[in-house]
Amino acid sequence: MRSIFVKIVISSLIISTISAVLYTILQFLPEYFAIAYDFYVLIIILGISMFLAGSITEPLERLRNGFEYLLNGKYIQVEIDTRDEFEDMGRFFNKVAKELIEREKILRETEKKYRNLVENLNDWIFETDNDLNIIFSNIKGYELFREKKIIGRNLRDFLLDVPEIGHDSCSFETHTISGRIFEFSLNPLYEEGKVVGFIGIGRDITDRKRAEERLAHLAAITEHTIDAVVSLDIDGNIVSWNKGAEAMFGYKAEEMIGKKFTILMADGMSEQCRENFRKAILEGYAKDIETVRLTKDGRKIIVDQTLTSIHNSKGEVTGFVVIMRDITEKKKSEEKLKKAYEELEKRTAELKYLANIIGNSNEAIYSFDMEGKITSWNKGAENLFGWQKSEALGMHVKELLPEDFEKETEYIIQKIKNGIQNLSFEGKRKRKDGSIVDVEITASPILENDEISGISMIVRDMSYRVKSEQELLRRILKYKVDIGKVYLTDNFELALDVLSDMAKASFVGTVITRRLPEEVNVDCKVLWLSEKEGKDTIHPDATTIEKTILNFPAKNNVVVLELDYLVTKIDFESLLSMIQRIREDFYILKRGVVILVATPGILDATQLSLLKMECNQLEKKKIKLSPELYEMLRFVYMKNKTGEKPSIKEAMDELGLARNTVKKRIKQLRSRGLINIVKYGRTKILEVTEEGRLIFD
Amino acid sequence: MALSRGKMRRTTFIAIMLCGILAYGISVAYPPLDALFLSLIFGVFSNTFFDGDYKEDAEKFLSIMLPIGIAMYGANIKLNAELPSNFVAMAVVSAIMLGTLVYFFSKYVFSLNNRLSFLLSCGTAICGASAIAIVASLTKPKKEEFSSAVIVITIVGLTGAVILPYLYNVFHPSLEKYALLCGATLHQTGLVEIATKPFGVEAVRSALEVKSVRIALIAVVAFFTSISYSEHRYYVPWYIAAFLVLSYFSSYLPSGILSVLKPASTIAFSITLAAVGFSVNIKDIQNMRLDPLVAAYAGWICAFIVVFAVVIL
Repeated sequence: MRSIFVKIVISSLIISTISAVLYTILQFLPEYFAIAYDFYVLIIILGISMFLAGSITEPLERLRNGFEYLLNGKYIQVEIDTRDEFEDMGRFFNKVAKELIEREKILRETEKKYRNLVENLNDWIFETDNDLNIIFSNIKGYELFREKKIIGRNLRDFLLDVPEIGHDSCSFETHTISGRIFEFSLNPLYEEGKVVGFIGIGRDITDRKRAEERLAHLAAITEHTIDAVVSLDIDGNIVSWNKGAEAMFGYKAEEMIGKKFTILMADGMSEQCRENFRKAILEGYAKDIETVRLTKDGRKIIVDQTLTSIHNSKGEVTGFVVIMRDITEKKKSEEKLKKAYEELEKRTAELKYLANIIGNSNEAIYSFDMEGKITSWNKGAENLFGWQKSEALGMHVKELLPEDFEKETEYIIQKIKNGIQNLSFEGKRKRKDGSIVDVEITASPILENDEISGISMIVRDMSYRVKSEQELLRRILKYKVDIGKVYLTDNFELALDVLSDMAKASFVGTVITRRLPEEVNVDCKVLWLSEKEGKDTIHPDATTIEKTILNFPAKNNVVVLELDYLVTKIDFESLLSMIQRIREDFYILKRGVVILVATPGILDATQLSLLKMECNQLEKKKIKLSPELYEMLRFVYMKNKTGEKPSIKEAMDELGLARNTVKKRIKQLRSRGLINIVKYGRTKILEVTEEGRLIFD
Repeated sequence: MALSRGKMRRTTFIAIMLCGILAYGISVAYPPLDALFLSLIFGVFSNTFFDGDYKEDAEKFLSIMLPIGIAMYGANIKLNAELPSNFVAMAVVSAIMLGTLVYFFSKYVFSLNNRLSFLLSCGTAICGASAIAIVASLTKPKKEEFSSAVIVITIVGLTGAVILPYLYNVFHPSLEKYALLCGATLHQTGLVEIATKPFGVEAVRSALEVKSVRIALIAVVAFFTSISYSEHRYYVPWYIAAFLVLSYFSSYLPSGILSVLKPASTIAFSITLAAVGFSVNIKDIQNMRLDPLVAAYAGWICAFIVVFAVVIL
């Protein structure tokens, strides 16, 4: 019999028997020891009982240990060999425990898998109580917020905007404190029918949102771009037609969707179209530069086209996108631009040619800005002035001027600013070695955007010619006059004689006087000072007179200005200022000679003194010949100087004399050995002898 | 209210001492109840029926009291040099036989482990719980082995102590033989006193003289046990040496000193056995099943029959 019951019964019998035996034994002991021995027997029985009970219930302890292990997730094989119900229980336990352990193992593995899944999910999975205090968070939560402590904190601590949460499932989108956009889904957790919290899943949709925005942006761009964006299916039927295409071709989207793309092809383009589609399929895209398309109204437009194939996830071609840009206007503009470019190249070549000429010109060409700093300097300038280009650039242009001509630069700038385009004059320049050179100067403005940015100067070395001319003048004139100077005399007749004499030497004479023109018995222009306007009249004010004089030809002027009348009309200071300005102009530009005439007594002593400071005195040369003979000899001499040998007739014509008078004067000059008559064919021509030339040395 | 660790320990120490002193007091008031046995039983019951984790403190107290108790217990032993050699031989043979048979049954019949078998063997052959406590300090058995060994030896010994007076009444041997039988076969000194007290002081004295021979064997057992188990080879604990010295010289001490030393040593050993009882877990009996008890009974009964036959018949 396998029964605990039996064991207990047997045990009871054993105990009873032992008890009976022992108490029977005690009957033989003295009374005195009875209590003690009863106690001892009790201890014995108790002890044996405990061992018996223990031996019966010991398997329970094993089972208890087994259960304890089981509770701790471990499994031990409970071995019970009592051959009673405990042994069965042990067997059952082992079976159940094994099953449980296996299930737990599976559960653990499953839990591990789920935990891994939850922890490794890219979504934030969390659990909260009713007040949204977080009681669980997967790793993503910690990574997301870079916080060590999430558990125990409120969901609102991490989210910028959390709507009111009821007891139902809800979803919402919000920004986290880390700036990401999250989509949350909260589901209530129930315990005994009551909501005890929520389980939530937060999904980072920042990238998705941005992608959506980008897509929307791209869609808007595609829709509103000026380029025509057309998508086609695999058969070439139009699937989409953007606003750019509508504007470019004139067709509305509803007109074109479903139509063949070839409707836009000009005649003879179908072969090229097929080739493009074939290339797009094989290579992914095909570019068609400057191809022709037809608009709704039949116009031909030139477009740049890109045909791109669209692939599905398997890599199969499912359609095409055609992007076309209208370059018709661009092409026209390009043509214009091309022509302009060619013109520019031509001009540039010319400019290069000119620059080369200028650079290599023998004439000194340089320029300076409005502050007077030299900005260009050619070879001719290097040769003329001695300064190398590197030295001259940046140097102030005044360095080129002699001391007396320092005001020239301001004068030229002022003139140019006043609108004079080409200012030509003769002047002087200082070389690097300090020597002075006579030059002929042409000043022109340099314009940049219609603004004067500088002045170009063309300077020609005239030193030899000027010297020659001055020497010639000095030799041939009856008076000692220097070009560029202002002279003062009280003798109007003398002034007219000087003018007449210089007029014969190719000077242009002008007399400005209150005297009537017929009173001026000289062949020259007479300007009559009068407040009334009329022909050859000039108003007696300083500005008008100055302006008139300064507008005379650039050189070889001889001007006689009578001051008597002007003194009555203009205050002396204005008159003196005007004279000073005219003097500067004539001196700097070597424009000729000005002779002022003031009748004695018309000016007071101070005024006269001031005037004399500005002017020189006329002085007559000492000549051994009579004026008439000197005039004849000078005529022939001047002709001979230019390589000509005048005839008697020419002398008659030039000097306005009769033949006999000319012959008579020639005869007198021949008798003095100053002139020869040479036969040139049938004509007699005149030449000055060596002795005659000495008169002019 | 939970007590602090220090208070807990003090409480345990006091409880153990009270058990020992109370047992001594009862034995004085009512000599048939042996102080040593009572202190052991008080210790076991106090530990079992009062909640609290006393074991650790009890073991601590035991480690202090055991050497003292054993050493002082020597005063209770009176080695009689005039004891007949056949009595000495019988005591030694009996001890060897008891130990061997109990070890045989435990180890080879009931397949108990070596440590428990050895404890049961020593407890049976030498001096019950005292020998177990001494040997356990060297062999370091498991708690449940120590507990079950103490309880088993106490029960078996007590059974012997109850049966022997009956056998005396049945077979009517001389008191000398009876004392030899008791001293040669019963486990503890207290049990020897229990079994012989009904037959007069002389029987008690004679039995204890025989028992002292067995007790003296503890020195030999401790020596060999230390060789087998201890880390320090050829080591005899000082208290064993002290016990033997005191046992030897107690015979020559003046009666005045002995009249103080004996109660003091009895109280000290009572406290020691109370500490042993406190460190015993009665629940361990359940796990040990019936095997140690049967093995101890079997070994003791076999040896007893032989000794009984030799001595009485």
